This record gives sequence, structure tokens and C-alpha cells, in this order.
Amino acid sequence: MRIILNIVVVKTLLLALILHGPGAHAQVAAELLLERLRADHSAMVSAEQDFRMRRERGGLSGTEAADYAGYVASLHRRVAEDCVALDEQGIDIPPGLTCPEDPAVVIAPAAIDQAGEQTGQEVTAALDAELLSGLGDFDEMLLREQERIKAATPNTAASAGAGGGGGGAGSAGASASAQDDDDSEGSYSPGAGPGSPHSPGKSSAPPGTPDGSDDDVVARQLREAAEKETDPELKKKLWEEYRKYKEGTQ
Amino acid sequence: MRTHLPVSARCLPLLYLLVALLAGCSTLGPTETVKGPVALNKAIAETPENQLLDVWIELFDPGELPEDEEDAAGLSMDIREAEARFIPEQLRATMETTGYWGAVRVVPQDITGSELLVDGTIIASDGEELVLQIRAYDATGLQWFERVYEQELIEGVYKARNLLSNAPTEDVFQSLYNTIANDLAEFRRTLTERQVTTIRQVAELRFAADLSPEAFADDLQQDDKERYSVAHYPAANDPMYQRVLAIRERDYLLIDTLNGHIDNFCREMESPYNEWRKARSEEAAALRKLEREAMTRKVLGIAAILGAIALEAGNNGNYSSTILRDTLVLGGAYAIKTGFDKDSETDIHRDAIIELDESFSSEARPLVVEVEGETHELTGSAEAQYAEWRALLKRIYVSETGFAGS
Repeated sequence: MRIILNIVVVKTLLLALILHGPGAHAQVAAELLLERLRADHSAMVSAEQDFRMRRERGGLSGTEAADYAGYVASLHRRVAEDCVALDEQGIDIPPGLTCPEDPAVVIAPAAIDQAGEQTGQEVTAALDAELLSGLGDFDEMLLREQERIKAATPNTAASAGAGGGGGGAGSAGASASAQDDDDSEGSYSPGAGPGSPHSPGKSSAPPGTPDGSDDDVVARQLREAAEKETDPELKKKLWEEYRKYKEGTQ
Repeated sequence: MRTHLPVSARCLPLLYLLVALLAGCSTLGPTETVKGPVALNKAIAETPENQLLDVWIELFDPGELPEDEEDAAGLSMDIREAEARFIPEQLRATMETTGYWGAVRVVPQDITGSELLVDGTIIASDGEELVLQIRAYDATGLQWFERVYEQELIEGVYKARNLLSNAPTEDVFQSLYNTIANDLAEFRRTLTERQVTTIRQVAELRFAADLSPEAFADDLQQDDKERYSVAHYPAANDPMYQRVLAIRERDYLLIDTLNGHIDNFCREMESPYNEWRKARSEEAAALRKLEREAMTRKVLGIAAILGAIALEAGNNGNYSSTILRDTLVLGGAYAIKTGFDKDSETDIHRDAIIELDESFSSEARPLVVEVEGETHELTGSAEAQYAEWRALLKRIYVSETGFAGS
């Protein structure tokens, strides 16, 4: 994983030199950009497949899954970045590569310090990674708990039926059960996974976006990135990525 | 000419007034009695997202059982513990539909980070009467209000619901929940946009300062009334703040998960709880009816015997008066006897109430133990995790700034 990223870092630096040097060789720059997009896209697709396969086999611990998910999410962001760079250079996206239709400026989180080797920054990055991993573990723990809750949820219909048999009191039971049903579409759902927004009233998801109740860790990270993004164009792209990813996992 | 009364005498009316006021307004706060149906006040226009306050309703304090043995007959703390979870959930579901609030959640006691916190104590609850003490505070420490809400059901309401095909499907105490929700919404409407923004920012900063005091404690200030305000609000791209916000998202998810447990608990409890309230209310009504009848008969019997004595005193050997006296004595004695018979019938209903309570207690107890265990387990794991994150944030802060923090 690290080797791939290091190669990408070196290529990025080369590309930056070419693009910003006097009399930049546009052709070379275009080639490098396209190559980077292909590499990133290919890495993203294979990492996604590998991740899905390992998860299905149950071969990943909570920490490993969180790490891997973070890596896959970073590849998603990198592809989006590549698209922005290509668009800025007026280069068409080769067919067969999925890319946002209207690229925007992407601010990639510095998962790896690309600029230098300052010890302080490296330490912070390592601690950030540790924090990210802890968040991933916590997500996994909550996901498991919510699955347990969902499995333990009493049958609403049975509950309403029992209440109904009791006459007046039963009617109240049926009512509250109906209310509970509404809740599942409302501001919280007992069975919702960690992907669900804590408050739909505050969710910025565009219409038609899945509710996140069955998000896996990658989807969760993408969703989170989209929710937090302040640039509207980039936000749109991240939601698009999220939807595509969700469609791919259905 | 003005009379010069001593100071104590002049103050006497004021003293009486003060005593009267204190008697009417207990330490629990002013009382709002719910009589008749109360409609739920819903927002007409959509509230902008940045003006929605999240509400956390703490699990209620179960309170204490009545001191009077007869009033407390059959009631148990097991039932109260169950109600301490069930009632906040009813209030949550009510508030959620009003459109005035962001996310409305039921949370364990003593969790930090709320924008609006509602807590409550069950003063009385027996299926026919519900009395709650409710307090509401926002994140800045401002107390919105502290009130007692009480509602006594009309006798026979459960039976009536049973008979009507189109009976209301809501909880029998829904008007009480509506009243609380309406009062909260009414207070919310008095707040300016700026005040709401401050509440939200203070809530965020209190959470941030709790997790990383070295980075955020100075961003908050507290006055001598323990009210919080924002001294400095971090920039949106402040990496430290972003880390804290990422953890806060998990905190919301944790609370959502806890709500899942509480919701399951309420679903399981709902049917037996409603049955218990209905059956208990019917038994209590039958008991009261019998008690009234027994009392009436005893009073009439005694009155008849007293009448006979009075008749005897004024009797001059009149034959018809003697017959009337004997009839009154016999009738009176019979009425008193049947009065006592009715008394023994009331014992049957008293026993039935105790049996109902014991039966429901034994049903509620394991549910409460289960949900309490799940809550403790989850909050325990979360506390351990938060402690790790606190330490990690401190190391990040030191690494980024070079300061060890205070």
C-alpha cells in the first residue's frame, strides 16, 4: 500500500516541476496526468475489490478494516483530484475511466506528508492515523451493536397486534408502534448503522441519496467527507462518488 | 391619625402572604395541571438548519413511591424504573414531530455536549395520574424552566377507549406530553437567531473542551452565574477542531445506538405497560366505588339507629312508633352489616391491584436490567475510548504546537 503511494508521490512532484517550470511541456504533463489517473483509478478499483473480498471472507479485524477503508477512501479522493487536474489542463478523460463530470477543486487530506520530512509533521500524521484507526474501530463497534439491536428489535406487527387485542390500551400500543415505524424514516433509526446521519434535518445529502443505514466503512468515510466538505462543487462530486460506490455494493 | 404598630405587627400581613405563596409554589416549581385534550403545537414554517437545536432528554429520575401505604399499595420501584425510561421516550417521540427541533434523543444521565437538555422526575404515576417535574437547560447554562406537570385521567377512560371503534390511538397521557413540548417550543420561540447560534457553538465548544482542554478550554468563558459564552470560535479549517468534530460525530452515533436499545425496551414494554395501566385503573375505580358504597351504607345505618334512639326518647308507648323504631334499628343494623360486607369486597380489589402490580413488576424488571446492562456496557466502552482519544488529542496538540498545554 505504502509503495504505491510513494510512487504516486514521486510522480506528483515530477508533475509539479514540469507544470510549474518555465515553458512547461504540455504534452509530457498531459501524459503524466493521464498516467496518474490510470494508476490511481486502477489502484482504487483493485483496492475496492480486494477490500470487499476480504471483508466478505471476514479476514479483516476492526483496525485493519478501518485502515484499509481509509486507504480506499483516500484513493477515491485522489481520483477526484486527478480529474480536477486534467480538467484544468483541458485534457479529456479517457473512456472507461469513471470520473466526475464537472471536476472541481479537491482539497485532499494529507494522509501522508508529501511536502517534507519534518519530524513534527510526521509525528502528527502518525497520531492522526492512530486517531483515524480508533474512529474506525469505534465505527465498527457501533455498527456491530446496531446490527445486534436490529436483530433484537421486537416484531412491530406482533406488538401492535398484542396491543390491539387489549382494546383501548392496545390501541395506544398500535399507535406508538406506528410512531416507531415513522421513526425509522425520521431523525433516528434504531437499526441504522454508523453511516446514518445523526440528524437528517442537518444532513446535506442531495435528494435520492441512500440514507446510509447500511453503509460499510468505505461508504461511511465517503459520506463523512461529503458531509464535511464546504466547497459546493466538491461536495457534489463526493456525493456522486458515494452514490456510485453504493450502487456498486448493492 | 396614624397608628404606630410595632414592626413585627406591620409585617404580619406580608408574612402571611409569603407563607401563602410558598405553600402554593412548592420547591418543585410552579404546577401546570392538564385538563382536557391539549393539541400539539407544530411549526408552521420550516426552521433553517442552522437554527435547529438538538434536544437530549435524560432518562428520568424514578422518584419515590408515595409515603401513604394505601397509595403505595402494589406500586414498586421496578415499575418506576421502567417508567423512567418509557416516559422520556414518549416525550421524545412527541417533540420529534413538532418541527421545532433538530435531533431529539433520549440519553443516559450526566452526558455532556447537549444543546438543550431536558430532565425529569416522576413525582407520581399509577396509571390514572401522572405527575412529572420537568427542567430544561441549554448549553450556555440558561434554565428555560422548571415546572411540575400533572394530569389525572377521567374515570373510565380506558374502558371508553375499549368500547369506541374510533378511539384515540395516542397515549392516555399524550396531552401532558403535548403540554411539555408546547412549553419548550414556546420558550424556543423567544430566542433570537444569535442566541441559538451561541447555544450551538457553546455546546460544540463544551464538548471540545471536555475532550481537549489544552486546545479549547480558553475558547469558552464562564461568568459568576456559571453561564457559558464563546470567547473565541475556532476556524472551520482548524485541524484540531476538525478532529474533535469527527469524534463528536461518533458521539452522536453512540447516542443513536443507545436510543436503539431504549427504543427496543419501550417496544417490549409498551403492551404489558398499557395492559397494566388499564387493568389497574379499572380495579382502582371498582375499589373506589365499593368504598363509597360501603361508607354510604354505614352512614345510613348509623343514621337509622340514631333516629331510632331519638324516636325511643320521644315515644309515649305509641305502638306505631315502636314498630318504626324497631324497623329503623333493624334496617340500620342491616345497612351497617352490608357496609362491612362491602368493605371485605374492597379487599378483593386491593389484592387484585397488588397482584397486577407484582405481575407487571416481574415483567418489567428483567427488561430494565437488560437495557441498563446494555447502556452501561456501551457507555463504559465509549468512556474508555474517549479517554484514549483525550490522551491522543493531547499528544497531537503538543506535536502541533510544541506546547504541553495547561
